[in-house]
Formats: sequence, C-alpha cells, structure tokens
Amino acid sequence: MSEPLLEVSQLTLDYNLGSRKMRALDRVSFSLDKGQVLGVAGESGCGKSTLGLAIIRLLPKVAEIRRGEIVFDGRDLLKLSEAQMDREIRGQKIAMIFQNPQNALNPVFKIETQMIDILRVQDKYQNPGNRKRRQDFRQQAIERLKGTGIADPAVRVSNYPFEFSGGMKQRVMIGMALSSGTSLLLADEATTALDVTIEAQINRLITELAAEYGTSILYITHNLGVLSEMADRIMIMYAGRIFEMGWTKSVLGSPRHPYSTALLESLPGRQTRGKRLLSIPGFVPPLDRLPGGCSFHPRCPFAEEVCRQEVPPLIEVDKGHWSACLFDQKRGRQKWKWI
Amino acid sequence: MKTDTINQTKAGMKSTQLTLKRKWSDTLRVTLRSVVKVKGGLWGGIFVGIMLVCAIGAQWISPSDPNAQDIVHRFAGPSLKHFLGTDYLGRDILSRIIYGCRIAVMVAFGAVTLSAIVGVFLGVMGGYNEGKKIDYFIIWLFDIVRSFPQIILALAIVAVLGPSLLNVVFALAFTAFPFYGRLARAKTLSVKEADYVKAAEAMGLKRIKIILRHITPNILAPVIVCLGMDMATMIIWESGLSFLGLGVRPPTASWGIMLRNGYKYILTSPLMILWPSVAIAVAMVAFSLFSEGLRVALDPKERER
Repeated sequence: MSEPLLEVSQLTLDYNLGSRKMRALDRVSFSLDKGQVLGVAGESGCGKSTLGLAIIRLLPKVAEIRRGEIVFDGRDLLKLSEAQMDREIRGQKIAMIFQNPQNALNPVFKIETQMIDILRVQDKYQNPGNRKRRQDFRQQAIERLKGTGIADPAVRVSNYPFEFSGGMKQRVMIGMALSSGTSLLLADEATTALDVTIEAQINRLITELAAEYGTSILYITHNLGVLSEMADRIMIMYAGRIFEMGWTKSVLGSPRHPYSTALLESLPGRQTRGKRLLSIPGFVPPLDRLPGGCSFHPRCPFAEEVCRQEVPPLIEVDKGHWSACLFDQKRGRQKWKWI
Repeated sequence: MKTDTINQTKAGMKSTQLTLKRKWSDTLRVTLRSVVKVKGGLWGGIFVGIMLVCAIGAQWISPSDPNAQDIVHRFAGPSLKHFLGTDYLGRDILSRIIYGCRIAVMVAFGAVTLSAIVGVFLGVMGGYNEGKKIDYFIIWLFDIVRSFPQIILALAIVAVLGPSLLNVVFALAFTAFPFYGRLARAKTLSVKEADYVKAAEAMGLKRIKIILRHITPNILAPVIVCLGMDMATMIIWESGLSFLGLGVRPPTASWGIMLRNGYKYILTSPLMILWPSVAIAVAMVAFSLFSEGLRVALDPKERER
C-alpha cells in the first residue's frame, strides 16, 4: 500500500506564448501509491489538466518543463525518449481518458476498427512474438465492451461512434484505455460532460475496473462531491500550485487552507439550505500576471501584509495533511460564512 | 403472448441494426443523390458521366476511326456521315472529339490524382509535425513550386522532358501538388487538435497509424472537392500544352491539337475550331458544376438546406 507508484517532485512548467511566460505548474510535488485514488480539484485554469498531460508527456509544443522529475515505477518519465514513451508507457502502463467523449472517437471508423488498433498495440508489447489474428482482437474488443457494461457488445462493436451516446462512448474509451497492464489511469474530467446518473455509473465503472487491475487513478475534476466518494487522497490546486493535500476525510472534514474551505463552502449542503451560497470574490489570476507572495491573497479575506510578500511553503499541518498557508486556518470555515 | 412481443421487438431491433450497417456503395449513392439535388449539379453530373463514358468506350462509341483520312471530303460541313463535319485531312471531327475526350480525362485524372496523393501526403506530414524542421522544409518546397506561374512551370518541364502523355501528366501534377499540400496541411492543423487524435496518442498508437487512420480520412472532403475543380483546370491546361505542341503528339486526337489544326483555317472553315472549343467549354462547366455539387453534398451543414 505504501509503495509509491508515481512520485512527482518539484515539477515546474512554463507555457511560452511569444513574449508572455505562463507558469502553469510551480514546484508541484506529490506521490501516488499503488492502487490509490488521488483526486485533483481546483477552479478552471489551475493547472490540473496540464499536470495530467505532463505525466503522459502529451503537452502542447509551447509548454516547457523547467525542472523537476516524474518518477514512475522507478524511472523518470521526463528522461525517456518519445519512442520509449510510446512503446512502454502510453497505453501500456499509463492510460488517459479525456473530458469530452463526444469527440474522443474518430467519427469515420467503426468502434471495432478503432478498438482493434489499440488492442493490437497493447498486445504487441505485452506478449511479443505471439501474433494474433484480427478475429481474436475483435473477440477481445467485444469482451472489453462487455466488461464496461455495454449491452449487446457483439452487435455494438460494429457500430459507428455516432450511434453511441456520450456515456457509452466514455465506456468505450475506458474499455480501450484500461487493460490488465495499466498501472496508472489519468482521468481528466472524465465525467464532466455527462449527466449525473451516467457520471455515477461511469465513476463506479472506473473504480471497479481499477480495483480489478490494481490500477492507481489520478482523478482530475471540479466536483468535490465525486471526490469524497472516490478518492483516497485529495489535492487542491490553485494557479499551478498545490494548496492543500491530504487524506480525503481530513481535507474535506477539516480543511486547513482558506481556499479549500471556500471551495467547500460554495457547495450546496444541508446546513446552507435557504442561505446564499458562498462565492469566492474575483477570479483565478491569469498565469502570466500572478500576484506576488501567496497567489491567492487578493481573494483571501484573511490575507495580511505578509501574504503579499512571502510565498507560503507546503507544510505538514497534521499527519499526512499538507497545507500551503502562512496561517493555520482551523478557524477559516467559521469566518468565510460571514462574508 | 408476452414472450411473443419480446421476440418481435428483438427481431425488430435486429433489423434496425442491420439497416444501420452501410456499404460504401450506399454512401456513394447517397452522396451522388445529394449532388444532383444541387442546382446545376444534375447537369454537371450528366455531362461528366457522358465524358467518362466517351473516354472509356471511345472505340465503340465513335462513328469512325479518328485517324482515317478522307482527303476528298476535307473541310466538309455537318452531314449524316460526319455529324460535325471533317477536318483538313478529312478526318471525322466527332470521332476525334470523342477520342480527345479520352486524352483529356486521362491527363486530367492522372495529374489530379498524382498531385493530390503527393500533396496530401506532404501536407499531412507537415501539418502533423507543425513547427518542426520537416514542416518548414515542406512549406519551403510548396513555396518554391508556387512561386512559378503554373503554366510556365508546366511548359518548362515538358520542354525539358519532351512532349508525351506521361510527361504532361507529370508536369501538370508537379505544378498542382502544393495547392493540395497547403489545403491538407491547413486542415490537418485543425484535425490534429481533435480529442480522438489526443486519445489515440495517449493510448500509444504509432504516429504513422494516427496519420493514416485518424487524420487523413478526416481531411479528405475538401480535397475531393478540390479534385473536381482541378479536373476542369487540368483539361484546359492539357489543351493548352497540346495547342502549343508540347502535349501529346499528333496524330493522336486531343482537343488542343484539334484547336491547333483548326486555327490555321479559322477564316475558311470556322467549324473546325468551333467544335473542340465547345467540347472544352462544356467539359469545364460540367466539372465545375459537378464539383460544386460535390462540395455541397460533402458538407453536412449545406446538405440540410
């Protein structure tokens, strides 16, 4: 359990857009154990997706990794060649599913064609020298679809993507991406585009399959409610930095950072019935004009002069619970309510 | 009773799913049907069809041998024996136009196909590797070729290689491929951002497979339309090169050669130059209308109107 599968340390990444430099990730360090689910939450533009893409090394060309390392299974992914990534990592050890299932399948080919392509790649490296025929792969594709809970997979496998609903497409993507060899699944807002019922089903599917294959999950989302059910640990990000990280229970139950507190306060719940929900004033600062000091200080009601000057380090405030605030914010939850 | 209805619905489902399966011939039929729905698309389609039939079946359709000379009846006007009259050697003009159709279609089709294949290949390579050295090299290649006026470049190539059918096809293809390349490259830039390309990359699919499977099929629609438009242009250029004596060699019947021959007698027997001109004009308009119909048919937004 305590064996780390993925260790990201001091990962710093810039987007170079002409003269503007945007620091999308700033000294991000965390680790993910085998079989664990780590939820990553935060507002839009906080670097959550960038983190996922950096791990699987599919960043856009303008992105530049300044420093840091991503150690996966004992190897630094940033030092591997593109060919090695393709051969050993992408689709083999690390799988990624994306936000919008509507566009995740090529509209001009049948499901079976696309699945067989991927299965062939996976098979080639998992058991080399053992040539399978197209029919075998097709059978395997049908089994994968069955495993993801698609009804009548033998017929459905020869349909085109437009004949599938969004939820079904996401099931297909999960069926394609997750194999028994997958040890890390990056789910980048995998259920954001789906309605709530389907979202719950897909999340259950992901959890079940991951448990079956012993896969760890990096689950990127806006939805703290989903994380409270799925995640073992939660990481709250803001403007490219980790603000708070810890076990789900302690982060959601007793958040230490004002930002996490605010995120939780802005969720509707039983206690807030009939009252106005909290909304955090302002917006996420553009990444090329981050305020000095703690990047959250312009929006933080507790900010003091020191917050403008010093970048708060991520410190362990409780056992396994880290927070990046200069003040210990146990009282934060109370105060936010009265703003 | 209940099981009966269940069985029925099951059978019903099966049949609907069977109808969902489409053969490519069905797709072709649907596309052609929407082509003829477009204004002018029907006429374009008919004349393109006639041209193709003439090109393929010239030896069965044409009333007489295109090269059979009948000096006694030279410069004859239209008659029952020679529907469009005869030329300066007494050859049947209608037969020569039908055989010329074969040359025109062969050259146009060959040049367009060749340039599209090369252009799309290079364009997709460049677009997919945007910003890398190979992309700059490919753009640079396109720009070099494009910086020459097309007809001058074609003339120069044929002049160097010598006039022959194959050389004309090559020369025309060489002048046209950058246009397909740029089209393919531009479209690739947008398609490669699609989620399914990202997903395929994340799953470790080989780059070449991504290009063939996920990018090329999704950029083909505009290329196909461009093919149709270019067919018209290529027919003109083939005639132009033949007219200048740099196309296929006489006595092979080509519209350009017929123009060249008729040009000397334009005052005495204008019909000799009229008929090939009409043939070229009709071919141009037909291919333009057809490709316009194709453009609409391949664009789902337009098709719904």
